[in-house]
Amino acid sequence: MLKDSLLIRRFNRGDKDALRSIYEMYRDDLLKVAAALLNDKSSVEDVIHDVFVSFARTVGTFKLSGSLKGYLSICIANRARDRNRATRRQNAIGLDSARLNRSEISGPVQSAISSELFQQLNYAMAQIPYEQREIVILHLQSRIKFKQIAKLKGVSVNTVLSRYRYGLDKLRLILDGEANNETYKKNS
Amino acid sequence: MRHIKKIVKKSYLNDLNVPASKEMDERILGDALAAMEESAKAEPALAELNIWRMIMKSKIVKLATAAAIILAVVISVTILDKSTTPTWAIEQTIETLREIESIYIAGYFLTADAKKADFQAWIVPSSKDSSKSAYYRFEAGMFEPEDFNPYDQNRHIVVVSERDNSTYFYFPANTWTFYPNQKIAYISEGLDRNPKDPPCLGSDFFEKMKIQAQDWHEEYGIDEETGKQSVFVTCAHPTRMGASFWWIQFDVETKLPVCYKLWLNQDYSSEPAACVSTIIYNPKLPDGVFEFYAPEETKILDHRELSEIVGADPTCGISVNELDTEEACKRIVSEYWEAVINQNWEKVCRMRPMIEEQTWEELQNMYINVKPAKLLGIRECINIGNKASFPIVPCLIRMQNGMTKVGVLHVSIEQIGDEKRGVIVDSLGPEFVDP
Repeated sequence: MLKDSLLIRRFNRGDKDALRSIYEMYRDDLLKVAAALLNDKSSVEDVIHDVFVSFARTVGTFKLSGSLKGYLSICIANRARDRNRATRRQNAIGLDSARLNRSEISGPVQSAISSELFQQLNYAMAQIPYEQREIVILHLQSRIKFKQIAKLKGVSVNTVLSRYRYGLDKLRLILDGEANNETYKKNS
Repeated sequence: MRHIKKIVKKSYLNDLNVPASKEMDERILGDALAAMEESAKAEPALAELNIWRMIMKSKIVKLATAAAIILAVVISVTILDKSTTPTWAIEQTIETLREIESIYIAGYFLTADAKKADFQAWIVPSSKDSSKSAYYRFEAGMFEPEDFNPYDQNRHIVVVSERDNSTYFYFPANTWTFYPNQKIAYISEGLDRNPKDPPCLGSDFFEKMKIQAQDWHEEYGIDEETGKQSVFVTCAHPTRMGASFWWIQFDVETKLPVCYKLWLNQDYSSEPAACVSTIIYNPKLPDGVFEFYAPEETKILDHRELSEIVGADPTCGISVNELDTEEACKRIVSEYWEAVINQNWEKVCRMRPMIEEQTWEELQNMYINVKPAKLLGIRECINIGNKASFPIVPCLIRMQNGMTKVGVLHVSIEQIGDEKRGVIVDSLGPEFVDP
């Protein structure tokens, strides 16, 4: 596998193959990050598109500090936040619409597995505040270190760690609540 | 906390299947490539225009530009004139090395028991400080020069990767006295390769040498093998590996170092502590040379993971403020074994935060079965000072049945805010072995 820094060097020289390699190398991971962060799952492709087009415009001047995957994932997270805000303004979407429903998802964005736990997790994810959700996803899916997230988002490492902790705690509480409800429904 | 993390990873992120389509790839890549082309065309034209306007704006700048051109011509003529008689200066080496993107070196070093061990290394100097490596792969063991085999389990390997901001250490089997079959890999954040490994010969390294070296002595001569004109330099210059006395051969024509030797003392006639006999500049880097592949059945201890666990739960471990590293290591293991002997499982669990839930049950059952009864002694800690791995603390423990066993533990001291927290990382191999 070619190193990020070598790819960036080639990219900055205007090498189209370098951009292609970067896209192919990180596409699948970024799709997951976008799908996990967006309330409206049909926007996944658009977000990836916008990030790559913006990234392509930095040719000749792009400077990499840290991992490229980390940088692109943070870009996805920032775009996803803007999209979520815009969608909320337009449609005043409720939390239930954030549930992944295979029939509502069009195009390439399809969830292959719609297990009950997956649906519960997806619901729980949509309920935790966005700034906590993005740290959880960026860390667990993109495997970006807390330090890099803090650097790229311009906040302290302690803030990132707190958001991560609160995010996971809330997820656990929501899932415990769901599990109790299920037990209650079965018993009654 | 770790449980929910596992659920999110396994049941949500793994199942979040978002397949890409050919149409999507074409649309995104098509637009991105068009944007790239557009920007690439616009950037240089704009830059050129702005620079030209800036230069031509004032008469003083015009005069200064003319003066600079004349000066450049004079300097070029002087340099061309001198180039007819080949000479060498360290500044030329520094300048030439600035253009070097990667280096391959091979040679041998003397082990603690004075045996020669072959090594090779691929190095990409850091663009920020070329005396350090951004990418580095060091291998020691039995192999042919330039033979890159990432799946050879018997080589001692160090990989440093700026991309991952990580350092990987791999110790093959037969490294440890009590654990002949144990293979271990350590992963840590940062680019802290073993201080005993050979230095990175970037331009900044010689820049520092130029300022710091003492007893500098140059001698012109001919390389016996190649017949090329060379300069042989001896000097005293401290290295992190302890050896401070250098003999370096520079090629007068290319200005680059050809080989070097290092001694612990000024006796240049004795066997050197390290000898680099092959240096290749800008070698073809084998694919994946800066990737780390852990061979099967390797115990992997990831410092990054530990730091995150302790960072996310500051109640892990015990406080070891105001203790030096060796004292702290001994305190950590002695409190740990005390907790095990007293069956204080809550404390044991808190002190060993990296253990998985399933393994924890097995470990607890094993402790209950073998019943460690007394910590007889703690032997000298090893690996202290190597940031890329963990200190190792061997202990002698008497079981309730009277048998004596050895337990070797990795420990770590984590800085959480203002506090130093000491934790047990894992055992070196099986929890207990015969002494």
